[in-house]
Amino acid sequence: MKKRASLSKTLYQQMQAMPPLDPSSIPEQSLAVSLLIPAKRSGHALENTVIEAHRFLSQRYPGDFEIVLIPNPDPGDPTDVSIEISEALARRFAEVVVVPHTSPAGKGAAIRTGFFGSRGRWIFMTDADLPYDLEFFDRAANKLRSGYDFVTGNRRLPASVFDVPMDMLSHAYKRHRLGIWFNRVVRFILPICTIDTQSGLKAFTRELAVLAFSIQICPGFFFDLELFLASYGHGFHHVDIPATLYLNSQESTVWILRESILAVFWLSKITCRQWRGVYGRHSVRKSKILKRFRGSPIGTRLFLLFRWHLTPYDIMASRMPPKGKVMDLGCGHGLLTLAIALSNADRQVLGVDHDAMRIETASRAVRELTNITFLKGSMLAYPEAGPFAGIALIDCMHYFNPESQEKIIRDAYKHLEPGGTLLIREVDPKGGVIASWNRLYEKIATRIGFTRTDEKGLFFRTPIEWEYFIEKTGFKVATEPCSSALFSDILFVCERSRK
Amino acid sequence: MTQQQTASTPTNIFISFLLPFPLLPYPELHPRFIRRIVEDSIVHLEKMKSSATYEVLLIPYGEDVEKASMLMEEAKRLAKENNGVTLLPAHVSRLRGAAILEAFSLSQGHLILIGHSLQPCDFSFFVEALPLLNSGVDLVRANRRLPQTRFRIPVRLLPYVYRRHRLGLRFNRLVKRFLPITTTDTHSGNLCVTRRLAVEAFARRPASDFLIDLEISLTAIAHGYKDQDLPVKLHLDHEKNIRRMLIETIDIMKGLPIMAYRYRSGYYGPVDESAQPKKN
Repeated sequence: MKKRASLSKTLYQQMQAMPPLDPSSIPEQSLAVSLLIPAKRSGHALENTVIEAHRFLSQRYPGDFEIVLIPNPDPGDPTDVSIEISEALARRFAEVVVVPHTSPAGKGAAIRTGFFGSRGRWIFMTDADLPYDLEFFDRAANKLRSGYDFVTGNRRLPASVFDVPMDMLSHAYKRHRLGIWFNRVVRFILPICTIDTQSGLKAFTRELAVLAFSIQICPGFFFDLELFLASYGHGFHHVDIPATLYLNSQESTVWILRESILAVFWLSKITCRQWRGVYGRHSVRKSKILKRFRGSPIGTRLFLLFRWHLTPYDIMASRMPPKGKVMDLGCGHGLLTLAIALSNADRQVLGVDHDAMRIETASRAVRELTNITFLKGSMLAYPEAGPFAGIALIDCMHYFNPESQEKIIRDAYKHLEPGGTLLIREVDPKGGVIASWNRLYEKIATRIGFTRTDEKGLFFRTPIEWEYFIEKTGFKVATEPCSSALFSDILFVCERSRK
Repeated sequence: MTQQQTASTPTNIFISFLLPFPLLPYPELHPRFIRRIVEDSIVHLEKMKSSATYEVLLIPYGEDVEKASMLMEEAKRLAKENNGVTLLPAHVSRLRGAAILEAFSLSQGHLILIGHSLQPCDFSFFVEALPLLNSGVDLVRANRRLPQTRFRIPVRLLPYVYRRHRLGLRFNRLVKRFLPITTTDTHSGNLCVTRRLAVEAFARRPASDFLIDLEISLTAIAHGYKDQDLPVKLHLDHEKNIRRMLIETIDIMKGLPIMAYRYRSGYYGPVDESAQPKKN
């Protein structure tokens, strides 16, 4: 009975909104990185985590980082020694700072307290039991350097990895499924497009942190949603990258029933605030892109309508660097070119296609836009010199023979700047019945002249053949499915080496 | 070679690591996985060079050898780069068991380590198994169902691995019903055997595919050889395709009753009653 009363009290406390904070009370930045680690009932794991993190950060940011430990034990819990262990670690390492958090209870509130005691230009976050690979922060730092403001570890990207003991396989699987369902609800209600909002692995700029934490009201688990909304609403650049998750213990500070009640409560509250525009109103409306083709023939408009709804252009655009010169080779009518250019004004986008009619249609659609140009040209001879921050080769490589395919990819490598991104989308010819239909569609489209090609025949490769072949050129490749249910396309996100 | 001899010459052992890798029609294998397994094995085997010599035998098998040019290219490169690695001629059959048998017939090791390219494990499993083989155990299996076993799985495969794990538990129950097996996992595909057990097992023309691991276990039991399971860290990156699962299901349906009959009739060796595992 006593326990039930205590749970109800905790639940009530976690439903209380935090008052927004005054951003002027935040300390000035004076370090490169602050790593925030909230700690609750995780005293001994915390010690190993701090040792690991200290070693990792000392190698990368010598003398220019801090580890902010945020012990937040439940009041009156004598078993939680997070504060004592944190203080012992602070005595051991000069770079460790302890910012205890007492009230209100919850991870979100603790993180906010920790941030208000931090001084880093970049804010990194992980959990006290270190269930993630620290190497994530190297990749995140590369993204932050290239202009992103918000980098999150996404446990549901195809390249993410679970490292799990046999006896926790069932637990990991069920938790994964539950997470997918929660995410579906979140994406249905809120304008969030990532498929994992709740991962504890995040890196963001101080600018975003100041904004997001000063309008945050949720003290608990759902503060991540506010962080995403603030980022999207104010036009900060977000990117998901794969994460490696190490599961070692079934113990979790997340209690399903309590969290379900809190989820309903906070989702409603955050949605209301979103409608009121508290998190900002910056957005790219997809329909605006199709409206640009109003003057085109009805056939073209119908084709573009289908194509737009059957192709995840926004996902592909989000994989491009947030600023710099970007080239869309084989751009067709320029749907992706437009998605890339409109989602970020800092990108200068060039669309190239050999079909003069399509280039003309595309050019008419972007007349008043200053960061987008279309040119008629061949994929085998670059119409403009690089280096480019990103190059897209979407749905076009199978029109070239293997030798030309190799040349195109080698050229892309040459014309990309170090760390630049090459996007390739191709049909997975082994994707079962859908793949057969996909290949048939391509054959018909080229035979009737709807898709014009310079070469005869179609040349498909399996995803593994593509990966092997692209990697040989010097790219690091991440593969992800990227199509509607009617097609079997695969997106290869290739990163050029930084050397 | 007898068990006594093997145990008495631990400072000069010859280790053969057999790695069959499938070409089509199996799930396509990225060449980097073969490279990772071979390089990992060489790092560990080189460390043991003072007490052991080794050979790594790569044996490609499958129906469409010509189409798998990437894998063959990588295997050739590995053999060229490393003295201890030999690429055996491709075995034109879809049967993993037959490929293992062929690789074994060309091997020279006192201790035979058998790897699985579609569910590779950390080579540390084999390193931990070697002292056991030297101390009188004849068969060490990687057991995916021991609590200390870890899976490293890309998230896209998590549902499949979980379902396959559940299916595997059911298959194991079925095997235990038919055969005197006590282990909870006969089919991880990663195992170590002494040469004497390998000779006994392979001389009986074992099942040519999926059930070969089970037959090796049965031969060990029939001869009263000691066997042991060790936990393992598996790096899973592939899931079986439907065609492969159908082939294995047919194999099991045909093979299990035959194996049970053969075991009882003494085909796998003299059935030593005292060595029989006690059934609960």
